[in-house]
Amino acid sequence: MSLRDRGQDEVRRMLDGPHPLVPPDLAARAAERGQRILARRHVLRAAGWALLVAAAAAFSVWAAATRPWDVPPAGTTPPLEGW
Amino acid sequence: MRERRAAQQCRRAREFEAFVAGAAGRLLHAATLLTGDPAAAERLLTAALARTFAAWDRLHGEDPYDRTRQELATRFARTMWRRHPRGGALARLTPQERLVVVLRFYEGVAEEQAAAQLGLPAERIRAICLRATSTLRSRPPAPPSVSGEAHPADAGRPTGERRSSEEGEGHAVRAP
Repeated sequence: MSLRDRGQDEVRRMLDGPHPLVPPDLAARAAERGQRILARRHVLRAAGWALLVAAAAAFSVWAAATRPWDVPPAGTTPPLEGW
Repeated sequence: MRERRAAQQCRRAREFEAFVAGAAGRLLHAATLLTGDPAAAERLLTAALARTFAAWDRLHGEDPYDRTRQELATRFARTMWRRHPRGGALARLTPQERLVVVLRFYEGVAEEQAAAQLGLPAERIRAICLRATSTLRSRPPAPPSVSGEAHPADAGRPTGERRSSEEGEGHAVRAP
């Protein structure tokens, strides 16, 4: 066993001190907090979808109203008058 | 649909509780070694476990213990620049040295894996381990009030200057 290994073993022993007592409600608290994270994610996802749908609907209404694919009336031809 | 979801939630809660019952003691000890303060360790572990719970259905065979340990390390690495851990068995180490020592020697994570988790080269991990080992072996643990003044590297430098330079380092690392 090398000197370095001995040193590491010493540190390992140092780390393996008395273990702290686990509070009995740790799992319940962590689960509750995890559930909150999940709920928050759920709300965020729902809000994102709602935003996407609203944006799509707004675009459709605007496109139907202005019809940007129509050829605009030619402004260069003079109006026909005097017939 | 609703019933299936309720059943899944129930199963998740049961599995999670069994996992915590088995792993919490070891994880809490690791967290206490990191933070040096039982209350902070409990907060850290609760946050890490909560993230594991949130990811429970999408672990896909990954070990929840590994997941929680990774979460613990990441969270500690993120907060250690703001709140310097003090006290505990590793009181004389810097936060980074604490993290590496706990991962390598207490948790037995391989050098390459620890390097990947912390985003450091493996040689750096080895160097930090060596330095921490020699620091820990150099002197028996002293009370915190004495250890700061007894450090040989600090001799001849006023305490205030040392503190300000330390804070500067903290900002430099936190900035990117």
